[in-house]
Amino acid sequence: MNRAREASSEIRSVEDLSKLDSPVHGLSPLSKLLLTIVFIATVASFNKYDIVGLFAMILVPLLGYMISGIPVSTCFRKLKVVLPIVLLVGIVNPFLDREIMFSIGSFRVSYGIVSMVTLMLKGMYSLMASFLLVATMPIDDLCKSLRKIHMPKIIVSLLLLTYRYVSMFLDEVATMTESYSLRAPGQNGIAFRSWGSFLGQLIIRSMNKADRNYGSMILRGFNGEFYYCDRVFSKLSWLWIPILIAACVLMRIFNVPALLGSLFVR
Amino acid sequence: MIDIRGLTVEYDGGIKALDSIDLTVNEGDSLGLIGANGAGKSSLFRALTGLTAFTGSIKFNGLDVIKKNLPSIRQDIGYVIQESDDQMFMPKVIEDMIFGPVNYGTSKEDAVKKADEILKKLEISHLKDRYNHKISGGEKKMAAIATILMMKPKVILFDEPTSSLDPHNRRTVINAINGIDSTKIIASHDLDLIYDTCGKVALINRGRIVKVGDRDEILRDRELLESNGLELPLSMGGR
Ligand SMILES: Nc1ncnc2c1ncn2[C@@H]1O[C@H](COP(=O)(O)OP(=O)(O)OP(=O)(O)O)[C@@H](O)[C@H]1O
Ligand SMILES: [Mg+2]
Repeated sequence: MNRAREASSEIRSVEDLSKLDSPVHGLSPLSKLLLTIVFIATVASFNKYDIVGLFAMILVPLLGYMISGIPVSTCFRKLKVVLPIVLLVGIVNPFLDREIMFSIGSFRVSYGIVSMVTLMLKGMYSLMASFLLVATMPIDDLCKSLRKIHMPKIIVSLLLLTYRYVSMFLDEVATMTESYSLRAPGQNGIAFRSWGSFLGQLIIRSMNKADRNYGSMILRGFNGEFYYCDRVFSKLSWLWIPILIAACVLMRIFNVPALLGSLFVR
Repeated sequence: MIDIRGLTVEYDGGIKALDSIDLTVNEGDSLGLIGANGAGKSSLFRALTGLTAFTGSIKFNGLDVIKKNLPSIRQDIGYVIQESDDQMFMPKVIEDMIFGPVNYGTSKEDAVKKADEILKKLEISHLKDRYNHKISGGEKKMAAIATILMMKPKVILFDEPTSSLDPHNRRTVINAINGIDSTKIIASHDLDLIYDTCGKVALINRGRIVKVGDRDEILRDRELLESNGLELPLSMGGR
Protein backbone atom coordinates (compact mmCIF):
# COMPACT_ATOMS: atom_id res chain seq x y z
CA MET A 1 0.00 0.00 0.00
CA ASN A 2 1.06 3.54 -0.67
CA ARG A 3 2.93 4.90 2.36
CA ALA A 4 0.78 7.99 2.68
CA ARG A 5 -2.39 5.94 2.45
CA GLU A 6 -1.00 3.66 5.13
CA ALA A 7 -0.24 6.60 7.39
CA SER A 8 -3.71 8.04 7.01
CA SER A 9 -5.36 4.76 7.83
CA GLU A 10 -3.07 4.45 10.87
CA ILE A 11 -4.26 7.81 12.09
CA ARG A 12 -7.83 6.78 11.58
CA SER A 13 -7.36 3.54 13.43
CA VAL A 14 -6.02 5.51 16.37
CA GLU A 15 -9.24 7.45 16.27
CA ASP A 16 -11.02 4.10 16.59
CA LEU A 17 -9.06 3.27 19.70
CA SER A 18 -10.22 6.53 21.18
CA LYS A 19 -13.82 5.38 20.98
CA LEU A 20 -13.26 2.34 23.22
CA ASP A 21 -14.55 2.20 26.73
CA SER A 22 -12.27 1.99 29.74
CA PRO A 23 -11.73 3.89 32.95
CA VAL A 24 -9.01 5.88 31.19
CA HIS A 25 -11.31 6.71 28.29
CA GLY A 26 -13.89 7.80 30.80
CA LEU A 27 -11.69 10.48 32.32
CA SER A 28 -12.36 14.04 31.36
CA PRO A 29 -10.24 15.04 28.35
CA LEU A 30 -8.91 18.14 30.04
CA SER A 31 -7.70 16.24 33.06
CA LYS A 32 -5.86 13.83 30.78
CA LEU A 33 -4.39 16.63 28.77
CA LEU A 34 -3.16 18.30 31.93
CA LEU A 35 -1.69 15.08 33.24
CA THR A 36 0.10 14.42 29.97
CA ILE A 37 1.60 17.89 29.95
CA VAL A 38 2.76 17.55 33.54
CA PHE A 39 4.18 14.12 32.82
CA ILE A 40 6.14 15.24 29.77
CA ALA A 41 7.42 18.32 31.57
CA THR A 42 8.54 16.21 34.52
CA VAL A 43 10.28 13.71 32.29
CA ALA A 44 11.99 16.47 30.36
CA SER A 45 13.24 18.10 33.53
CA PHE A 46 15.21 15.07 34.72
CA ASN A 47 18.95 15.55 34.89
CA LYS A 48 20.61 13.99 31.88
CA TYR A 49 22.56 11.57 34.03
CA ASP A 50 19.64 10.61 36.29
CA ILE A 51 18.92 7.40 34.49
CA VAL A 52 17.66 5.51 37.52
CA GLY A 53 15.07 8.10 38.46
CA LEU A 54 13.91 8.23 34.90
CA PHE A 55 13.41 4.49 34.77
CA ALA A 56 10.76 4.74 37.44
CA MET A 57 8.77 7.26 35.45
CA ILE A 58 7.71 4.61 33.00
CA LEU A 59 5.25 3.45 35.63
CA VAL A 60 2.88 6.32 34.88
CA PRO A 61 2.27 5.60 31.18
CA LEU A 62 2.43 1.86 31.77
CA LEU A 63 -0.35 2.16 34.31
CA GLY A 64 -2.34 4.13 31.77
CA TYR A 65 -1.85 1.53 29.06
CA MET A 66 -2.77 -1.29 31.42
CA ILE A 67 -5.98 0.30 32.62
CA SER A 68 -7.05 1.49 29.19
CA GLY A 69 -6.57 -1.97 27.70
CA ILE A 70 -4.46 -0.60 24.86
CA PRO A 71 -1.34 -2.74 24.47
CA VAL A 72 1.92 -0.80 24.68
CA SER A 73 2.98 -2.62 21.55
CA THR A 74 0.22 -0.82 19.64
CA CYS A 75 1.91 2.45 20.47
CA PHE A 76 5.27 1.26 19.19
CA ARG A 77 3.75 -0.24 16.09
CA LYS A 78 1.85 2.90 15.20
CA LEU A 79 4.78 5.12 15.96
CA LYS A 80 7.38 3.01 14.23
CA VAL A 81 8.07 5.82 11.82
CA VAL A 82 8.82 8.49 14.42
CA LEU A 83 10.36 6.28 17.06
CA PRO A 84 13.76 5.86 15.35
CA ILE A 85 14.02 9.61 14.94
CA VAL A 86 13.40 10.12 18.63
CA LEU A 87 15.87 7.41 19.51
CA LEU A 88 18.54 8.89 17.26
CA VAL A 89 18.56 12.22 19.03
CA GLY A 90 21.24 11.40 21.55
CA ILE A 91 23.36 9.25 19.27
CA VAL A 92 26.38 11.56 19.27
CA ASN A 93 26.57 11.95 23.04
CA PRO A 94 28.80 8.90 23.63
CA PHE A 95 31.39 10.43 21.30
CA LEU A 96 31.34 13.84 22.94
CA ASP A 97 31.30 12.82 26.56
CA ARG A 98 33.68 9.90 27.05
CA GLU A 99 34.46 10.25 30.73
CA ILE A 100 33.67 6.99 32.53
CA MET A 101 30.75 7.19 34.94
CA PHE A 102 30.73 3.62 36.22
CA SER A 103 31.55 0.18 35.00
CA ILE A 104 29.63 -3.04 34.97
CA GLY A 105 32.23 -5.78 35.08
CA SER A 106 34.67 -4.88 32.38
CA PHE A 107 32.12 -2.81 30.49
CA ARG A 108 32.78 0.88 31.07
CA VAL A 109 29.80 3.14 30.87
CA SER A 110 30.66 6.72 29.99
CA TYR A 111 28.64 9.82 30.86
CA GLY A 112 27.90 10.09 27.18
CA ILE A 113 26.23 6.70 27.02
CA VAL A 114 24.14 7.46 30.06
CA SER A 115 23.00 10.79 28.69
CA MET A 116 22.21 9.15 25.37
CA VAL A 117 20.02 6.60 27.10
CA THR A 118 18.23 9.22 29.20
CA LEU A 119 17.53 11.26 26.10
CA MET A 120 16.12 8.21 24.38
CA LEU A 121 14.00 7.39 27.36
CA LYS A 122 12.71 10.95 27.59
CA GLY A 123 11.69 10.84 23.96
CA MET A 124 10.14 7.44 24.25
CA TYR A 125 8.16 8.30 27.37
CA SER A 126 6.85 11.46 25.82
CA LEU A 127 5.74 9.55 22.76
CA MET A 128 4.12 6.87 24.87
CA ALA A 129 2.24 9.42 26.91
CA SER A 130 1.11 11.48 23.93
CA PHE A 131 -0.04 8.40 22.08
CA LEU A 132 -2.01 7.25 25.09
CA LEU A 133 -3.64 10.65 25.30
CA VAL A 134 -4.66 10.64 21.65
CA ALA A 135 -5.74 7.01 21.76
CA THR A 136 -8.04 7.52 24.72
CA MET A 137 -9.54 10.86 23.80
CA PRO A 138 -11.73 11.44 20.76
CA ILE A 139 -10.73 14.76 19.26
CA ASP A 140 -14.30 16.03 19.29
CA ASP A 141 -14.54 15.40 23.01
CA LEU A 142 -11.37 17.34 23.61
CA CYS A 143 -12.77 20.19 21.54
CA LYS A 144 -15.98 20.11 23.46
CA SER A 145 -14.23 20.37 26.79
CA LEU A 146 -12.04 23.16 25.52
CA ARG A 147 -15.23 25.01 24.64
CA LYS A 148 -16.50 24.35 28.13
CA ILE A 149 -13.60 26.24 29.60
CA HIS A 150 -14.37 29.04 27.15
CA MET A 151 -11.53 28.54 24.74
CA PRO A 152 -12.51 30.70 21.73
CA LYS A 153 -14.52 28.89 19.06
CA ILE A 154 -12.10 29.82 16.34
CA ILE A 155 -9.16 28.17 18.08
CA VAL A 156 -11.10 25.04 18.93
CA SER A 157 -12.48 24.67 15.40
CA LEU A 158 -8.98 25.17 14.08
CA LEU A 159 -7.74 22.35 16.27
CA LEU A 160 -10.50 20.01 15.11
CA LEU A 161 -10.05 20.82 11.46
CA THR A 162 -6.28 20.54 11.62
CA TYR A 163 -6.64 17.10 13.11
CA ARG A 164 -9.09 16.05 10.44
CA TYR A 165 -7.02 17.55 7.67
CA VAL A 166 -3.95 15.57 8.53
CA SER A 167 -5.53 12.36 7.30
CA MET A 168 -7.29 14.16 4.47
CA PHE A 169 -3.97 15.64 3.40
CA LEU A 170 -2.29 12.25 3.53
CA ASP A 171 -5.07 10.78 1.40
CA GLU A 172 -4.48 13.50 -1.12
CA VAL A 173 -0.75 12.75 -1.12
CA ALA A 174 -1.60 9.10 -1.66
CA THR A 175 -3.97 9.77 -4.54
CA MET A 176 -1.51 12.08 -6.22
CA THR A 177 1.50 9.81 -5.84
CA GLU A 178 -0.57 6.91 -7.09
CA SER A 179 -1.71 8.72 -10.19
CA TYR A 180 1.83 10.00 -10.69
CA SER A 181 3.35 6.56 -10.54
CA LEU A 182 0.70 5.20 -12.90
CA ARG A 183 1.90 7.64 -15.51
CA ALA A 184 5.58 7.32 -14.68
CA PRO A 185 6.12 3.60 -14.53
CA GLY A 186 9.50 2.45 -13.33
CA GLN A 187 10.24 5.71 -11.59
CA ASN A 188 11.12 5.50 -7.97
CA GLY A 189 9.40 8.29 -6.10
CA ILE A 190 8.76 11.61 -7.74
CA ALA A 191 11.28 13.10 -10.12
CA PHE A 192 13.02 16.11 -8.63
CA ARG A 193 11.91 18.44 -11.40
CA SER A 194 8.26 17.65 -10.65
CA TRP A 195 8.48 18.45 -6.96
CA GLY A 196 7.55 22.09 -7.30
CA SER A 197 4.36 21.55 -9.23
CA PHE A 198 3.54 18.45 -7.23
CA LEU A 199 3.75 20.32 -3.95
CA GLY A 200 1.89 23.31 -5.30
CA GLN A 201 -0.89 21.08 -6.59
CA LEU A 202 -0.99 19.20 -3.34
CA ILE A 203 -1.50 22.35 -1.33
CA ILE A 204 -4.15 23.75 -3.64
CA ARG A 205 -6.02 20.48 -3.84
CA SER A 206 -5.96 19.94 -0.11
CA MET A 207 -7.19 23.46 0.41
CA ASN A 208 -10.08 22.95 -2.00
CA LYS A 209 -10.94 19.69 -0.33
CA ALA A 210 -10.77 21.27 3.09
CA ASP A 211 -12.94 24.09 1.87
CA ARG A 212 -15.65 21.76 0.55
CA ASN A 213 -15.47 19.72 3.70
CA TYR A 214 -15.86 22.73 5.94
CA GLY A 215 -18.68 23.90 3.68
CA SER A 216 -20.62 20.71 4.22
CA MET A 217 -20.03 20.98 7.95
CA ILE A 218 -21.50 24.44 8.25
CA LEU A 219 -24.34 23.49 5.93
CA ARG A 220 -25.27 20.88 8.47
CA GLY A 221 -25.37 23.28 11.33
CA PHE A 222 -21.82 23.25 12.64
CA ASN A 223 -21.20 26.53 14.39
CA GLY A 224 -18.18 25.76 16.48
CA GLU A 225 -20.08 23.92 19.22
CA PHE A 226 -19.95 20.19 19.76
CA TYR A 227 -23.50 19.15 20.48
CA TYR A 228 -22.95 15.73 19.06
CA CYS A 229 -20.42 14.72 21.70
CA ASP A 230 -22.35 13.26 24.56
CA ARG A 231 -19.89 11.09 26.41
CA VAL A 232 -20.29 11.71 30.12
CA PHE A 233 -17.00 11.81 31.92
CA SER A 234 -16.23 10.27 35.24
CA LYS A 235 -16.63 12.63 38.17
CA LEU A 236 -13.52 11.05 39.62
CA SER A 237 -11.38 12.55 36.86
CA TRP A 238 -10.35 15.47 38.94
CA LEU A 239 -9.77 13.35 41.99
CA TRP A 240 -7.14 10.96 40.84
CA ILE A 241 -5.46 13.21 38.32
CA PRO A 242 -3.94 15.30 41.15
CA ILE A 243 -2.74 12.10 42.75
CA LEU A 244 -0.96 11.08 39.58
CA ILE A 245 0.44 14.54 39.10
CA ALA A 246 1.72 14.50 42.67
CA ALA A 247 3.25 11.10 41.98
CA CYS A 248 5.07 12.47 38.94
CA VAL A 249 6.44 15.36 40.92
CA LEU A 250 7.46 13.17 43.82
CA MET A 251 9.24 10.77 41.50
CA ARG A 252 11.06 13.75 40.10
CA ILE A 253 12.16 15.06 43.48
CA PHE A 254 12.93 11.79 45.22
CA ASN A 255 14.80 8.96 43.70
CA VAL A 256 12.02 6.42 44.06
CA PRO A 257 13.93 3.32 42.90
CA ALA A 258 16.71 4.15 45.34
CA LEU A 259 14.21 4.70 48.15
CA LEU A 260 12.45 1.45 47.42
CA GLY A 261 15.78 -0.27 47.17
CA SER A 262 16.86 1.02 50.54
CA LEU A 263 13.61 -0.23 52.04
CA PHE A 264 14.33 -3.76 51.00
CA VAL A 265 18.08 -3.81 51.14
CA ARG A 266 18.95 -2.87 54.62
CA MET B 1 -39.30 30.30 -2.78
CA ILE B 2 -35.96 30.99 -4.47
CA ASP B 3 -35.61 34.14 -6.46
CA ILE B 4 -32.39 34.78 -8.30
CA ARG B 5 -31.76 38.12 -10.01
CA GLY B 6 -28.68 39.09 -11.96
CA LEU B 7 -26.56 36.46 -10.27
CA THR B 8 -22.92 36.63 -11.31
CA VAL B 9 -20.17 34.44 -9.93
CA GLU B 10 -16.66 35.43 -10.91
CA TYR B 11 -13.66 33.44 -9.78
CA ASP B 12 -10.09 34.67 -9.42
CA GLY B 13 -8.57 35.20 -12.78
CA GLY B 14 -11.75 36.68 -14.22
CA ILE B 15 -13.53 33.42 -15.07
CA LYS B 16 -17.24 34.15 -15.03
CA ALA B 17 -18.83 30.89 -13.93
CA LEU B 18 -22.26 32.53 -13.93
CA ASP B 19 -23.15 35.64 -15.83
CA SER B 20 -26.15 37.62 -14.74
CA ILE B 21 -28.60 34.80 -14.23
CA ASP B 22 -32.32 35.16 -13.44
CA LEU B 23 -34.18 32.14 -12.15
CA THR B 24 -37.22 31.50 -10.00
CA VAL B 25 -37.97 28.29 -8.18
CA ASN B 26 -41.38 27.87 -6.58
CA GLU B 27 -42.21 25.88 -3.52
CA GLY B 28 -42.64 22.20 -4.35
CA ASP B 29 -40.90 22.52 -7.71
CA SER B 30 -38.54 19.90 -8.89
CA LEU B 31 -36.15 21.71 -11.18
CA GLY B 32 -33.55 20.03 -13.33
CA LEU B 33 -30.40 22.03 -13.93
CA ILE B 34 -28.67 20.78 -17.03
CA GLY B 35 -25.60 21.93 -18.87
CA ALA B 36 -22.25 20.67 -20.12
CA ASN B 37 -19.17 20.41 -17.92
CA GLY B 38 -18.15 23.79 -16.66
CA ALA B 39 -21.54 25.33 -17.44
CA GLY B 40 -21.83 26.71 -13.91
CA LYS B 41 -24.19 24.28 -12.18
CA SER B 42 -22.09 23.72 -9.10
CA SER B 43 -21.28 27.40 -8.91
CA LEU B 44 -24.99 28.16 -8.76
CA PHE B 45 -25.42 25.79 -5.83
CA ARG B 46 -22.43 27.21 -4.02
CA ALA B 47 -23.77 30.71 -4.43
CA LEU B 48 -27.22 29.66 -3.22
CA THR B 49 -25.77 28.29 -0.02
CA GLY B 50 -23.47 31.25 0.51
CA LEU B 51 -20.33 29.20 0.01
CA THR B 52 -19.13 31.34 -2.87
CA ALA B 53 -19.09 35.11 -3.19
CA PHE B 54 -21.40 36.52 -5.86
CA THR B 55 -22.95 39.72 -7.11
CA GLY B 56 -26.62 40.20 -7.86
CA SER B 57 -29.32 39.02 -5.51
CA ILE B 58 -30.61 35.69 -4.29
CA LYS B 59 -33.69 35.62 -2.13
CA PHE B 60 -34.56 32.49 -0.23
CA ASN B 61 -38.05 32.52 1.29
CA GLY B 62 -37.88 36.28 1.18
CA LEU B 63 -34.53 36.38 2.96
CA ASP B 64 -31.51 37.72 1.13
CA VAL B 65 -28.62 35.31 0.90
CA ILE B 66 -26.19 37.47 2.84
CA LYS B 67 -23.91 36.64 5.70
CA LYS B 68 -26.34 37.72 8.40
CA ASN B 69 -29.07 35.38 7.15
CA LEU B 70 -26.93 32.39 6.34
CA PRO B 71 -27.47 30.42 9.55
CA SER B 72 -31.25 30.43 9.17
CA ILE B 73 -31.13 29.88 5.40
CA ARG B 74 -28.73 26.99 5.71
CA GLN B 75 -31.00 25.32 8.19
CA ASP B 76 -33.51 24.95 5.38
CA ILE B 77 -31.17 23.86 2.60
CA GLY B 78 -29.70 20.44 2.06
CA TYR B 79 -26.86 20.24 -0.40
CA VAL B 80 -25.57 16.96 -1.79
CA ILE B 81 -22.24 18.09 -3.17
CA GLN B 82 -20.65 16.68 -6.28
CA GLU B 83 -17.64 15.24 -4.46
CA SER B 84 -19.19 12.88 -1.93
CA ASP B 85 -15.72 12.21 -0.58
CA ASP B 86 -15.72 15.69 0.84
CA GLN B 87 -19.30 15.59 2.01
CA MET B 88 -18.54 13.17 4.79
CA PHE B 89 -16.30 14.32 7.57
CA MET B 90 -17.11 12.08 10.52
CA PRO B 91 -15.41 8.70 10.81
CA LYS B 92 -18.52 6.53 10.42
CA VAL B 93 -21.55 6.76 8.17
CA ILE B 94 -23.98 6.84 11.08
CA GLU B 95 -22.00 9.55 12.86
CA ASP B 96 -22.15 11.64 9.74
CA MET B 97 -25.87 11.07 9.39
CA ILE B 98 -26.78 12.27 12.86
CA PHE B 99 -24.34 15.18 12.83
CA GLY B 100 -26.77 17.65 11.27
CA PRO B 101 -29.95 16.84 13.21
CA VAL B 102 -28.09 16.77 16.53
CA ASN B 103 -26.60 20.16 15.77
CA TYR B 104 -30.12 21.43 15.33
CA GLY B 105 -31.27 20.05 18.64
CA THR B 106 -32.62 16.57 17.89
CA SER B 107 -31.65 14.05 20.56
CA LYS B 108 -29.14 11.43 19.58
CA GLU B 109 -31.60 8.54 20.01
CA ASP B 110 -34.20 10.19 17.82
CA ALA B 111 -31.58 10.99 15.23
CA VAL B 112 -30.39 7.39 15.14
CA LYS B 113 -33.96 6.18 14.78
CA LYS B 114 -34.49 8.52 11.87
CA ALA B 115 -31.19 7.39 10.37
CA ASP B 116 -32.35 3.80 10.47
CA GLU B 117 -35.47 4.70 8.49
CA ILE B 118 -33.52 6.57 5.86
CA LEU B 119 -30.88 3.86 5.54
CA LYS B 120 -33.66 1.38 4.98
CA LYS B 121 -35.35 3.55 2.41
CA LEU B 122 -32.11 3.85 0.49
CA GLU B 123 -31.43 0.14 1.00
CA ILE B 124 -28.06 0.78 2.57
CA SER B 125 -28.63 -0.36 6.15
CA HIS B 126 -25.45 -2.41 5.84
CA LEU B 127 -23.40 0.77 5.59
CA LYS B 128 -24.56 2.15 8.92
CA ASP B 129 -21.50 1.32 10.98
CA ARG B 130 -18.97 1.33 8.18
CA TYR B 131 -16.14 3.83 7.98
CA ASN B 132 -16.49 6.57 5.44
CA HIS B 133 -12.98 6.09 4.17
CA LYS B 134 -13.50 2.37 3.71
CA ILE B 135 -16.55 2.33 1.47
CA SER B 136 -16.70 2.44 -2.29
CA GLY B 137 -17.31 5.55 -4.36
CA GLY B 138 -20.93 4.69 -5.08
CA GLU B 139 -21.60 3.66 -1.51
CA LYS B 140 -20.20 7.00 -0.43
CA LYS B 141 -22.58 8.75 -2.76
CA MET B 142 -25.53 6.85 -1.28
CA ALA B 143 -24.34 7.65 2.23
CA ALA B 144 -23.91 11.31 1.34
CA ILE B 145 -27.48 11.44 0.06
CA ALA B 146 -28.60 9.78 3.28
CA THR B 147 -26.88 12.42 5.43
CA ILE B 148 -28.70 15.15 3.59
CA LEU B 149 -32.10 13.44 3.73
CA MET B 150 -31.59 13.36 7.50
CA MET B 151 -31.86 17.12 7.61
CA LYS B 152 -35.44 17.16 6.23
CA PRO B 153 -34.59 20.42 4.47
CA LYS B 154 -37.18 22.59 2.74
CA VAL B 155 -34.99 22.69 -0.35
CA ILE B 156 -32.54 20.05 -1.47
CA LEU B 157 -29.81 20.69 -3.98
CA PHE B 158 -28.48 17.56 -5.65
CA ASP B 159 -25.24 17.94 -7.57
CA GLU B 160 -24.85 14.88 -9.80
CA PRO B 161 -26.67 12.55 -7.40
CA THR B 162 -26.32 9.49 -9.60
CA SER B 163 -22.78 9.79 -10.87
CA SER B 164 -20.84 6.62 -10.00
CA LEU B 165 -23.98 4.69 -9.04
CA ASP B 166 -24.84 1.29 -10.46
CA PRO B 167 -28.24 0.91 -12.20
CA HIS B 168 -29.90 -0.50 -9.12
CA ASN B 169 -28.71 2.25 -6.79
CA ARG B 170 -29.45 4.83 -9.44
CA ARG B 171 -33.04 3.63 -9.50
CA THR B 172 -33.18 3.63 -5.69
CA VAL B 173 -31.96 7.22 -5.63
CA ILE B 174 -34.48 8.25 -8.27
CA ASN B 175 -37.28 6.69 -6.25
CA ALA B 176 -35.99 8.34 -3.10
CA ILE B 177 -35.82 11.72 -4.80
CA ASN B 178 -39.35 11.29 -6.07
CA GLY B 179 -40.47 10.38 -2.59
CA ILE B 180 -39.28 13.67 -1.08
CA ASP B 181 -41.80 16.48 -0.77
CA SER B 182 -39.18 19.20 -0.47
CA THR B 183 -38.43 21.61 -3.24
CA LYS B 184 -35.62 20.10 -5.28
CA ILE B 185 -32.99 21.31 -7.68
CA ILE B 186 -31.08 18.57 -9.41
CA ALA B 187 -27.95 19.28 -11.42
CA SER B 188 -26.89 16.51 -13.74
CA HIS B 189 -25.85 15.46 -17.19
CA ASP B 190 -27.86 12.32 -16.70
CA LEU B 191 -30.84 13.59 -18.63
CA ASP B 192 -32.79 10.40 -18.09
CA LEU B 193 -32.49 11.02 -14.39
CA ILE B 194 -33.69 14.58 -14.89
CA TYR B 195 -36.57 13.31 -16.97
CA ASP B 196 -37.60 10.89 -14.24
CA THR B 197 -37.38 13.36 -11.38
CA CYS B 198 -38.05 16.87 -12.62
CA GLY B 199 -41.08 18.74 -13.87
CA LYS B 200 -39.16 21.82 -14.95
CA VAL B 201 -35.75 22.12 -16.53
CA ALA B 202 -33.28 24.99 -16.81
CA LEU B 203 -30.58 24.67 -19.41
CA ILE B 204 -27.40 26.60 -18.80
CA ASN B 205 -24.39 27.03 -20.99
CA ARG B 206 -21.19 28.91 -20.16
CA GLY B 207 -22.73 30.66 -17.21
CA ARG B 208 -25.90 31.84 -18.91
CA ILE B 209 -29.41 30.47 -18.83
CA VAL B 210 -30.33 29.35 -22.31
CA LYS B 211 -33.86 28.23 -21.63
CA VAL B 212 -36.20 27.39 -18.77
CA GLY B 213 -39.26 25.32 -19.48
CA ASP B 214 -41.29 22.19 -18.93
CA ARG B 215 -39.41 18.95 -18.93
CA ASP B 216 -40.80 17.71 -22.23
CA GLU B 217 -40.32 21.01 -23.96
CA ILE B 218 -36.58 20.95 -23.28
CA LEU B 219 -35.59 17.31 -23.02
CA ARG B 220 -37.24 16.41 -26.34
CA ASP B 221 -35.57 19.23 -28.22
CA ARG B 222 -32.61 17.52 -29.86
CA GLU B 223 -31.35 20.63 -31.57
CA LEU B 224 -31.42 22.73 -28.42
CA LEU B 225 -29.61 20.08 -26.41
CA GLU B 226 -26.98 19.35 -29.00
CA SER B 227 -26.16 22.97 -29.61
CA ASN B 228 -25.47 23.24 -25.87
CA GLY B 229 -23.15 20.29 -25.55
CA LEU B 230 -25.75 17.74 -24.45
CA GLU B 231 -27.57 14.84 -26.06
CA LEU B 232 -31.16 13.63 -26.09
CA PRO B 233 -31.93 11.37 -23.13
CA LEU B 234 -31.82 7.68 -24.08
CA SER B 235 -35.46 7.30 -23.23
CA MET B 236 -36.23 10.00 -25.80
CA GLY B 237 -34.46 8.06 -28.48
CA GLY B 238 -31.04 9.57 -27.94
CA ARG B 239 -27.91 7.65 -28.87
N1 LIG C 1 -12.54 27.58 -7.68
C1 LIG C 1 -12.58 27.97 -8.95
N2 LIG C 1 -11.72 28.90 -9.41
C2 LIG C 1 -11.75 29.31 -10.69
N3 LIG C 1 -12.61 28.85 -11.60
C3 LIG C 1 -13.50 27.92 -11.21
C4 LIG C 1 -13.53 27.42 -9.88
N4 LIG C 1 -14.51 26.51 -9.78
C5 LIG C 1 -15.06 26.43 -11.01
N5 LIG C 1 -14.46 27.28 -11.88
C6 LIG C 1 -14.82 27.50 -13.27
O1 LIG C 1 -16.15 27.97 -13.30
C7 LIG C 1 -16.86 27.39 -14.37
C8 LIG C 1 -18.11 26.72 -13.83
O2 LIG C 1 -17.75 25.67 -12.96
P1 LIG C 1 -18.82 24.75 -12.24
O3 LIG C 1 -18.09 23.89 -11.30
O4 LIG C 1 -19.89 25.60 -11.71
O5 LIG C 1 -19.37 23.89 -13.48
P2 LIG C 1 -20.40 22.68 -13.50
O6 LIG C 1 -21.52 23.07 -14.38
O7 LIG C 1 -20.72 22.26 -12.14
O8 LIG C 1 -19.53 21.58 -14.25
P3 LIG C 1 -19.52 19.98 -14.06
O9 LIG C 1 -20.64 19.43 -14.83
O10 LIG C 1 -18.22 19.59 -14.67
O11 LIG C 1 -19.58 19.71 -12.60
C9 LIG C 1 -15.91 26.44 -15.03
O12 LIG C 1 -15.41 27.08 -16.20
C10 LIG C 1 -14.82 26.23 -14.06
O13 LIG C 1 -13.60 26.05 -14.73
MG1 LIG D 1 -20.30 20.64 -11.03
